[in-house]
Amino acid sequence: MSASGARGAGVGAPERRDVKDACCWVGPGPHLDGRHADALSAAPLRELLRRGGIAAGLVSPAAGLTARTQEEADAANATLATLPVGGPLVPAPVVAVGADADPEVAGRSVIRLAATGARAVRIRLDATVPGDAAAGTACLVRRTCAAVGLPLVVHVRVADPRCVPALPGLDECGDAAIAMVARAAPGVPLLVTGVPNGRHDGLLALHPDVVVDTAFLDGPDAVRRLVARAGADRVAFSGHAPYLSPGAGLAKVHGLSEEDARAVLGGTLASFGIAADRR
Amino acid sequence: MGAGARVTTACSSRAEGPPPIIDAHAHVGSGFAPWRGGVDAADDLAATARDCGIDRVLVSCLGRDGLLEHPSPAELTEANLIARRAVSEHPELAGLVYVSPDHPRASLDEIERHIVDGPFVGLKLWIARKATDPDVGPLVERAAALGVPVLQHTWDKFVDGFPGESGAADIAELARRHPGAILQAAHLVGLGRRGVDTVAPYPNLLVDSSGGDAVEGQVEYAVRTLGADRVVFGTDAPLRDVHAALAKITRAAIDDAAAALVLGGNAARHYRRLAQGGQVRR
Repeated sequence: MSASGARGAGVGAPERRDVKDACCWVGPGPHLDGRHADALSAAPLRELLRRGGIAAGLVSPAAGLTARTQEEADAANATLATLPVGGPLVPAPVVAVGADADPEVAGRSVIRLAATGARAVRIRLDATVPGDAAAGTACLVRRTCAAVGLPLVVHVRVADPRCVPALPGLDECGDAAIAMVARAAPGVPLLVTGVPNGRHDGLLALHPDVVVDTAFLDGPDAVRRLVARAGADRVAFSGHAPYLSPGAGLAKVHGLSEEDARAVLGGTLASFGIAADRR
Repeated sequence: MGAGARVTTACSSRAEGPPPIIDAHAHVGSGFAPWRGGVDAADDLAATARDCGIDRVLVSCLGRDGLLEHPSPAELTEANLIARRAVSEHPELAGLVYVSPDHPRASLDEIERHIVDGPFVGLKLWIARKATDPDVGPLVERAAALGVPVLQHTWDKFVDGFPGESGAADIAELARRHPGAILQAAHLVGLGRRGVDTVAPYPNLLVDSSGGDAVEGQVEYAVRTLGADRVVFGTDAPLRDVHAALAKITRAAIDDAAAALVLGGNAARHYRRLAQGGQVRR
């Protein structure tokens, strides 16, 4: 890709109107204090994405990041009701799968959410390891999602742990737990968002169904090089707003062929069936 | 530079044309593999700067094959010669002398070699010792006397910190002790809003935008709290993606005048030897 004109603009992907973001958050949540108050509701989030050059996003409630039970998750999911129906912010409610979550309730919640307009379900595995109760619940959710045709998203990192105080429920699970969840429904793509820098290749190698995001990917030309190693169909752009600047995140996507850029900036996400809000 | 040096809003006199874009924090060294077809990382750094419209990149070398926390005098010399060679081969690059309070005498010699008798434009302090260590003082005083800034690594870490790593409070104390020196605290993301608040009272202290993730609102907060004249653009490349680091500034909700200062106006004003072409100046 040749240099784009404006000084300081970098040589990112050409201006697009169809960029889709695999991970953004709405409402209050961990590490989102008053400093982010202007980006907590749907309208400011949409403006933040628009300013970053992003047309649509898969949105989950930030409070759901630390939900221990489905009751807490559903309270957080209520925030998604603020998203305009049919708009570019596509709801991905949270299902609780931690040690305190009831597996049966989790499974039933997937079916309920699928019937009420969810376009995907997002879970956080916390410090889950294969063999523990949370792992079993996560696998059940994975199988149920596959059965009802609802894409599942596993979220790992919320913020660089060096930069924020540790909070209960925000530990990061290891690759083995994610691979175990992937194996629970073989042949069905599994989107992993908030992948910490340095773990993308390992996760992709662990299971062929895993697709990773770009929010925390860093290093020179990191997206281009990851796509060269793994293929664009296994990489989805995410900006992780309002934690991170979606515009700066989008700037990481540069140096790709038009075909690969199209995939990373929306095609891969669309292949999950997450093209638009259909509530 | 006399006591009470202060960051000002006045831009250096400059010919007509767009304001400069200066990456005030980057690295070279064979420990960094080239990533886009160059012979070495310096090649790729310069090529990326050209692509992104970055006029100058301030580089230090922290070790030949890796990042050395406690370099010996010989390793300091070797590292600075690597940076010197990169600077001589790439007009986009300008050098910062890697110095260590573990070796004050050798570090002062390096300053003589590369600033007094060479083209380098500032100093780089990493994590050998905290910024408050008494042996840091003479190095900073020498920089102040020469009128060159000091880039000090900073990061207030909740986990995984290094023993000699400085945080906002450390560099704030250094700034208090040496009001005649211009200090650049690295890694806005590592300082956070609390760190910005901590360094705010010291007008001789700049903060660079390099390092880590692009935390939403952080550049805006720094500009609002410190003033646009105390924030400088940096990438920490090749550890980081230059395009994304640049977008932290170009995508921030700050006005054009502030962005111009952050992107290069401030660095041009303080790294005065950039304009002097790194001429020998005894």
